[in-house]
Amino acid sequence: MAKKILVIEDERHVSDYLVSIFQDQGYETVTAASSDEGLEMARSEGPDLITLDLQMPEEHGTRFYQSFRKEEDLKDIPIVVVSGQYSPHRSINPDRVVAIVSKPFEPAQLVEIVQGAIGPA
Amino acid sequence: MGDKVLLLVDDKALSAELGRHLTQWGHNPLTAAEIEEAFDLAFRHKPPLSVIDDGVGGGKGLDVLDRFKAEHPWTEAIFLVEPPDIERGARGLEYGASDFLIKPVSQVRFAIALKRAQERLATRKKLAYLSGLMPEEGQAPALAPLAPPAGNTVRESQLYDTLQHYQQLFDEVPCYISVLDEEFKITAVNRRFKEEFGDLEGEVCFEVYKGRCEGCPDCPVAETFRDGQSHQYEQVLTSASGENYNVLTWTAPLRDAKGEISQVMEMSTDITQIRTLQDHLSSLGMVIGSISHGVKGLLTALDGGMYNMRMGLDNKDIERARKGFEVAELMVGRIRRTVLDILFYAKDRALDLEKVDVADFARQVAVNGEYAARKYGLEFELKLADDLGQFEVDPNALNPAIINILENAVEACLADETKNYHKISFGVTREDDVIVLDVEDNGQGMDESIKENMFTLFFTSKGSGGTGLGLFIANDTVQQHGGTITVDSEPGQGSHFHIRIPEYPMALPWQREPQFSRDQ
Repeated sequence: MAKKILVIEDERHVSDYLVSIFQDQGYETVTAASSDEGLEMARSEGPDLITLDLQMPEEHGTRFYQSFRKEEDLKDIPIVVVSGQYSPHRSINPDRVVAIVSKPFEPAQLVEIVQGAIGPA
Repeated sequence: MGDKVLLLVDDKALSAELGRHLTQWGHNPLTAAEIEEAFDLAFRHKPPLSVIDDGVGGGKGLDVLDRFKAEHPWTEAIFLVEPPDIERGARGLEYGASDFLIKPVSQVRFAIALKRAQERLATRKKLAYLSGLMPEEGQAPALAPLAPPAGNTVRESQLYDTLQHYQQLFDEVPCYISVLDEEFKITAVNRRFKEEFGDLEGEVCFEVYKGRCEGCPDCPVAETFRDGQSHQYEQVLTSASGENYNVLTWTAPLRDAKGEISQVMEMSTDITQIRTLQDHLSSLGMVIGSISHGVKGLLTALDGGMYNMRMGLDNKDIERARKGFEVAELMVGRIRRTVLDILFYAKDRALDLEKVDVADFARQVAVNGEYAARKYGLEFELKLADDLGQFEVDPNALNPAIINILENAVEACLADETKNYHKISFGVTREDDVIVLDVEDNGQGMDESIKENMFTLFFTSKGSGGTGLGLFIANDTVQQHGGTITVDSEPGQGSHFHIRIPEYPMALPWQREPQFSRDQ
């Protein structure tokens, strides 16, 4: 069964873009447009990796990250932060985050990072 | 500026001569032949100035002067004496005369004495007014402590000196000072204020500074009347020459003899230069900080469109390529608009007004809105009333502002996935001298918090899809035209933007004709 990636991104077109990239590599994808939805999806879908936009409205990205890390079943899922912000937020522990990719990104680089973290689909 | 000047002069020839001078200087002489007639004229006309001859009543000038000043403390008196009676002239000053002149009276000396009397009266009135002792300009107060009865002359002259001293301080302080009464009427301004903003005494502050017809919300003067405390605030004032001044204003209560706040003083310091600098720095910072995130989102989505287009073409998947192209097209449009918004925002522009046919203007705007709407299969309706006539606007500023609102309507429809049929209508009507533009859509609508913030700089509800500049600029532009935008909206139902633009941009009082003046 293909490995599953959860894309948490509020901007539909960017979300579609990430989904296309991952699907082209053979990964299965699920999407969430808000951090609350993202947390639910993470629990129900058990993804192998999560991409997270840190700058969703009302700083939901960082809040998601904090609640996510508190849950035993979820805390080991690798996260790739895809953000328009240059510097990572202080609340992000660099050990847990596989990589921070800033927008706009190179698809090949993103694929490399994901494959490095969870292997090919 | 004609003043009434009462003449009670024994010598008929001299009286006539002084009368001629007065008329020549634009004053209005009231000539009395008898003492009682003089009192009668003074009672009826309340002249600000008078000339009293020591010779009247057979040398009873001093008594007449004494009685006159007691009854008419707000009329200045110039006392005339014969050359041997200089002593009596000095006594005249003690009795409250503003000056004495020795006969024969030359035109030059008379002019000087008259001018000094006018200045003295103005100073006394202003200070009486400031200390709340004079209820209304031109009307003698029940108590006249600034014109004490004769006998207290040393005190009066000391008081007069003190008052002049304070008047000088008031005028020369490097601040704009104005004093307001409880009805927000300006009762006094200092010299520096007068130089920048004109002599606005007697005007209502929010009318002349802000062009409003009612008081400003959170008025610090009203606060000071309420709590007796000093309040500080920043505001923008428009000078008589139309320049804007950023000022930092402190208010201070002025209390009357009973200790009650009768007036409030506003002291304003010009901080325009500091503000201009700060504005440049902070907008630069805000533009970089806020726009960059939006622009990055747009670029990423553009990349996405290009990626799918290329993958589609590579794999001969035309459907995927087409979808990619549509995303790329949408993003290029948004990036283009964002860049134009930034360029527009970066340039602080004054309106370049011209007379424009309203229907032509509306059609031009509608073409853009219709193009955007039809591209996504939305219905677009333009409704123009008859006889729209012309209005005076800056089409280069107003045109994109209205297009922005139309494009927002298109986006609100695109974002709404609950309905299959979307329609935007753009209606233009005239209500007397106001042009009314109505933009209605049945898109996703807005909740309260979006409605409250939508005209705020850098506020966007479109996530990384917006920069928060568009509606801010649209609103700003409409306001610059003296217009307003109001919005009705329900989530899920759609939005109605109601834009009202006056036929002529609202003229501030000093731009109205004729120029107003305190001297009628």
